[in-house]
Amino acid sequence: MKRTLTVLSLTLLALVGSLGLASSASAATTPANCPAAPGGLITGSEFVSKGLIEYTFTPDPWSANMGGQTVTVTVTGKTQQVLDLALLSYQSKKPGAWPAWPQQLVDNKRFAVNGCETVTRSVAVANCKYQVDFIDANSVTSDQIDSAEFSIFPLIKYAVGGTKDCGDTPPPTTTTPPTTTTPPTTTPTLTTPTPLTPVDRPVGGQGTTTTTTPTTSGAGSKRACSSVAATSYRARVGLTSSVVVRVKTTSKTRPTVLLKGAGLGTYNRKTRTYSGIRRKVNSKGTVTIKIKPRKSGRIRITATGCAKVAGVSVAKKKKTATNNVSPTFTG
Amino acid sequence: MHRKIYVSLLAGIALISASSVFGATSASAATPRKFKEISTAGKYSQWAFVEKKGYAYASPSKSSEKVARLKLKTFEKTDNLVYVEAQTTGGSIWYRVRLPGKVTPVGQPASAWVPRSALGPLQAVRTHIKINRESRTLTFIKGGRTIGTYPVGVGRADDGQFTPTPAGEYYVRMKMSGFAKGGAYGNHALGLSATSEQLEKSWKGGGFIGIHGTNEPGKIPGAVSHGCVRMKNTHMDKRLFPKVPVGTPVTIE
Repeated sequence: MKRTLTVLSLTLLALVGSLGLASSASAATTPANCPAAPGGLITGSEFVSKGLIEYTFTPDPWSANMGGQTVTVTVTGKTQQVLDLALLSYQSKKPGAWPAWPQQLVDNKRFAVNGCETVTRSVAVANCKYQVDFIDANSVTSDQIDSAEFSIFPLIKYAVGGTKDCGDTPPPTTTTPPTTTTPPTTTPTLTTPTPLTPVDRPVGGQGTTTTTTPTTSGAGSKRACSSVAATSYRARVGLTSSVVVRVKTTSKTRPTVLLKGAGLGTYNRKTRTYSGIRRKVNSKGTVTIKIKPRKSGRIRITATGCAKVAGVSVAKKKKTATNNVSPTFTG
Repeated sequence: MHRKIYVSLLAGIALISASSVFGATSASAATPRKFKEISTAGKYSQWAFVEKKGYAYASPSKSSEKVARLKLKTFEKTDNLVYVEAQTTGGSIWYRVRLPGKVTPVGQPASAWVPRSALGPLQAVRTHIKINRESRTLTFIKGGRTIGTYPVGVGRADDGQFTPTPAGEYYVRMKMSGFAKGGAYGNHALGLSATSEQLEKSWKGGGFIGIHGTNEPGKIPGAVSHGCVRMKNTHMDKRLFPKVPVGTPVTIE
């Protein structure tokens, strides 16, 4: 009997909750004021540039001195797109250089932005070596969030800071389970209700899709990758050499390696830069790339989702032709 | 006491077995190493810059006979390079190379070996130059296809002067241009790894021969030179010089 009552009350609560949510969500969007989402593949790093969201954050700017504080993000959806986002706080697990992996999750707020609504979320920041990430959580699993091992693609904003080692002490606050409620919003009047997305839905739901296009980002954003190493045999200007790049990663997606510098890739006349060479590593995490550098110097080798940088030096060109030198041939 | 004898006996056995092992090792080092040919003239041949001074050896081992010295620069101050014919398989990598100034009979492999550490990365060419002294022609081949055949002047081999163009397998070592107008070398020259046997001691720079233009086009074809291969300037300037990279194998028959 007690059990039946509990089930009934829970159902009632869920109904009321969903009604409330539906109303608040419906209040959030107006097709007239809220344009349709743009097509194509958009990753978290492009949300702002492609006009999907606007956000503010406190403290502003995020810095290396936020230890022990609370970080808040206020996000406003700018299209009818339903977005799954997360504000995450990590701390160092081992003493030493920072940022480093594995990291320990301190606080986690995963939430949805339904169309043109405004959502505010806060997380506590550890008072030692910390990293705060604001990400597109659409294709990031809970395990990846727990272990801090996701690629740089979903990253919208991040900050790394703190100088003190966290040691073996537990994180200052426990992980907050994701909420299903939408916070008060400053939204336009509602007419059409829009569907709600469960906040902690599994990977591969609706919303944005991650692309394999590599993006460049700061060191703090790179996850899941422990090393990038490159070997080359006497790379020299004008000569063909092979560069073997090895990437150690726990990510399921194979990283793309970018070799930049020494005049590699195609030349862009407008920007007066060379594009570099991109290759995907094989299942063993290695890739052999043939290069023919145009300039001497150093080739910078990076991999998607990896903070580490490897390098290969390129020696100057050898001389095989002479001009205005009379030959000593027998004639 | 018994224990001491036992220990010394064991040590003796160990010594004998160790010496037999070392003996086997030295014997195995003497066995010829396996290698594979990595260049086919006209289709896919390889060359490399000399990156480290050292020696070329008779076999792929530093304990073998030293055949020649590896120099970093040529007499004309260009960077020295070698044509790579074969590579050892298994263990440390050695290359069998053609060396400048050494005659390799036509169709026979060069016998000098150099360790990989002495050379830069291998570079590929698909070109081949064939010179026939009898027909006095030069045939330019690329990717196995004949691009053109041109009349040439070769070395004299008569009673008055005996400076024949040396037959053998060679390669293009350097490219030269910007000579004085109307000079004996024409406008462009390709320096070869070949030397004239008759002039290598008396000629400046070691008597190396080349393929070059001329200021006497009327003497082509013919046996007119001191060993070099002379071409008409039009052929040299437009047909050959711009299309021949260094490292191109040259066969003189």
